Amino acid sequence: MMEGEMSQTADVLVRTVDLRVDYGETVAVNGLNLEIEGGEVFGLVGPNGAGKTSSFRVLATLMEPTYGDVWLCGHDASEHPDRARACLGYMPDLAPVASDLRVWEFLDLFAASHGLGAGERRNRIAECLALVQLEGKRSAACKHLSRGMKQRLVLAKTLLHRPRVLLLDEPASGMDPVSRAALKDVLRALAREGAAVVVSSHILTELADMCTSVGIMAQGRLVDSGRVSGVVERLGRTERLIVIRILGRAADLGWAADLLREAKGVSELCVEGDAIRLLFAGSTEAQAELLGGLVKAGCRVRSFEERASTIEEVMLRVAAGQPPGRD
Amino acid sequence: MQGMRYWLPWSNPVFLRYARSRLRLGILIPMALVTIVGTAFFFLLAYILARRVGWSVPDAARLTLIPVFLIQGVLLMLGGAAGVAVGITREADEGIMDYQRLTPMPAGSKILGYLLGLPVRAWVLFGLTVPFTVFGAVAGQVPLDSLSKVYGVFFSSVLLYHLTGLVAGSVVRRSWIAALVSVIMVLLLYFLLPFLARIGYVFFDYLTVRPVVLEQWPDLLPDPIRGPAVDFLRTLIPSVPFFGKDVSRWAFSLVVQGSLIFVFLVVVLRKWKNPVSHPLGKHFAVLVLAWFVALLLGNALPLVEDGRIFPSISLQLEQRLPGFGGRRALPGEALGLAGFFGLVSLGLVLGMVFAITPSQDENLRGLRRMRKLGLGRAPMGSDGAGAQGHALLMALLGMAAWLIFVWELFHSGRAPAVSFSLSGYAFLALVFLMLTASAHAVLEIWGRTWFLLAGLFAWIVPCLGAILLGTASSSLVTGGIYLTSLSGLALPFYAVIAPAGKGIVPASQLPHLRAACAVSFVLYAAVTATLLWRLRREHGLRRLRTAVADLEGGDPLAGTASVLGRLEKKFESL
Repeated sequence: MMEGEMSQTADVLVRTVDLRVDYGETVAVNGLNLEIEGGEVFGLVGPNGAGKTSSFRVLATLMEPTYGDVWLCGHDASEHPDRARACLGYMPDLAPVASDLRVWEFLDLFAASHGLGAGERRNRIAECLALVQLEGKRSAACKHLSRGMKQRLVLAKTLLHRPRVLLLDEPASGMDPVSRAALKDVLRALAREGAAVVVSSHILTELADMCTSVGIMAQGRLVDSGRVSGVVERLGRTERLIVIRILGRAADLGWAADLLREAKGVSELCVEGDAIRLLFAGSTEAQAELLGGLVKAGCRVRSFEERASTIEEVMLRVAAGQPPGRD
Repeated sequence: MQGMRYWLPWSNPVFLRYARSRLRLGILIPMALVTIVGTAFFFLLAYILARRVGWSVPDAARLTLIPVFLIQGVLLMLGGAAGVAVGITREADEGIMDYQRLTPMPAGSKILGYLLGLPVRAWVLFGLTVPFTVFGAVAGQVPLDSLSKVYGVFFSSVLLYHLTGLVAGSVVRRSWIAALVSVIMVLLLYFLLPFLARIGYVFFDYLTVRPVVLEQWPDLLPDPIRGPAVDFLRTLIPSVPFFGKDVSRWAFSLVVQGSLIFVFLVVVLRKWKNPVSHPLGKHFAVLVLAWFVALLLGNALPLVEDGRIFPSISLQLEQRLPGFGGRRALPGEALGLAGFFGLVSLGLVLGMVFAITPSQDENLRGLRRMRKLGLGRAPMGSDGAGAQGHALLMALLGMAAWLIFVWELFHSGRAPAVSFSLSGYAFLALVFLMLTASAHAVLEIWGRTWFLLAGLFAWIVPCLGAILLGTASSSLVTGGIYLTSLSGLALPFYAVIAPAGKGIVPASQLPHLRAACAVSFVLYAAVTATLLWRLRREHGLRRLRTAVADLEGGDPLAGTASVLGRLEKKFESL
């Protein structure tokens, strides 16, 4: 959720205030403020080195922040890590499994470590294996599982103790499309039961499908956060991708491109086939004037299309270091 | 969590995890067969040889205890310790330890699970050798009391070495290095450190099972070799009363090993709860140092009066051949021993200071937590608090131990030629405090890497250079003496030799030694004063940084650089 957007009375399960993580002189996370309610699937997206994994490790109480606070289920994670951990399920990036154990032994280890009795353990392990569609691999050696299966196994381990907060760092990496769809269903089901799910991923389109809200991180900072459509709209608004098709010969296309290059607010123009693609920064009135100018100059404009920015385009631009715009 | 009895191995998930993975029959059966065949071979070899030379059945049975005991030592001490170190490092390396860290199981139960679970295969293989020991003990009519004392200390040593592996694995990141470190530590304890026992550091020998074996094996060895063997073994280790009290070796071993086991448990527990925490808490570190200093002194002082602390061959010859004249070497050795004790005490103190001094990041984090909790200052015992108070306490402890040792040494009948005035003792005290303060200041201001680099270039390199000079030509020895004065390692020796070297050190070198001592003292006094001033300033700056960071919402750099820069300049101008 956007900072300050959420009512303090809501069931906020994850809250960070001014979170900062330094590695010597390098600032990995800088001033991260988040509030995530139960029932929400929050996606944290950003290029490599944006600070996602550091943020996840701090949220998972595996690392102390240099500055700032983390509350999980209302517990201050620095002062009461044990209480915070009790409500937490964490799945790291490249989720490791114990290579010397069988699938059921791996799950039994953590079910017992979470205090589940023998009978309850058996049932819960069966439930979680079914949830991640690994029932057939119960007695397989962990080291013989494929990457995607290992991811699913660790997801099952993470769900064993029914955590209220789930932190999943790149959970879909290595999964085939069917498994990803299943993962999406599982996460949504957990959110419906009231859990707060925080997911990071590079597979942005899938994250957009999966999440109720997203946060965009770049260079350690949270660039924007909120509902997916809102973030895309806000970050995509200052520079819009416009595709213009012109009737006529190649020379006409080149002439139109030259005209456009001289127009205010136009950047990154390129000619592809019979179309001109450009980024336009300016108000909607200025955009209308751009079209009007072309027509007035004699260009036979077949179509003038403003492409909606996808979250991937927003991300690529954020990663490229272009300043995001806010209205 | 209620009802889970994690302290019972068979209810401990971590232990069960390793029992499952490490006792799979595919690997266990071949290893068990190798162990049984090997043990049986050496057992039968000893028994048959003994019978062939006409020993009785009980004597032959007793002889078999020796090879079986050695095999058990290799299995549990070397194999088990390496297994623990490798296992725990791999667990951390693979990331499984993070999962375990997040479970609500009590940290002590997790450590118990790792401690018993990681070497579980070594324990099972050990169990396979037990019938051989039982046969040797029963057929050899070995007193149960002696056997239980030897195995009591054996198990205590095993636990200590396994914990060493766990500590090595918690600190070192690569599994093979952790394994190597733990095996080297066990080998060091058995083959190198016993030499230190001969110059008073007997404490180290009680970390092994050797003293108890020597004490109890008169009852365990066969009659035909009991006399000469026991006499020979007893010459290997001095019998040491503790502060003049006679303590049995097995009880003393248990106390020494037990205290180290306790310290290691605290280290592992702290590292488990927070991987970036200091190995020891500040208050506890002072207590640990006090305890170890007491052990060192308690062992060393009783050796002074009867001369066993002196390592000279001439003295040992004198003890065997009265009138040999070995006493002549004693005053020089006394000076060397006094300087060496100072150096060891300094090393011990600096090791502890190293363990408790916060880095800049840790210090800033402590200050920020202090502000968050609304405290006026960081709690003294917390990791983030400055360590100058505790460093001072430790320096006083180490200094006191050194002074007591030097006093006893120079007032013993064995070193009558050494005269040392009261001002000499004050000089020693000042030197010790100065060296500790300067080293601590470097550590607290610039961190561990710079501390180690400074130690290498300011303390070790001058000594190495002096050795090279002395080796190159005898005319360069004087230059070497002055070059060594740059090193803090040499100052404890100079501080002893300069006031007391008359008539002991060659007259041609004594003025140079005294001048080098003066140079060294002035140099370190100036360095210490500068560093202490710099440390005070650094603490002020860090408090300022924290305050600015708080005002600016946790971002002390971006947006506040100019404010911070201005404030720092103002602060520096003050």
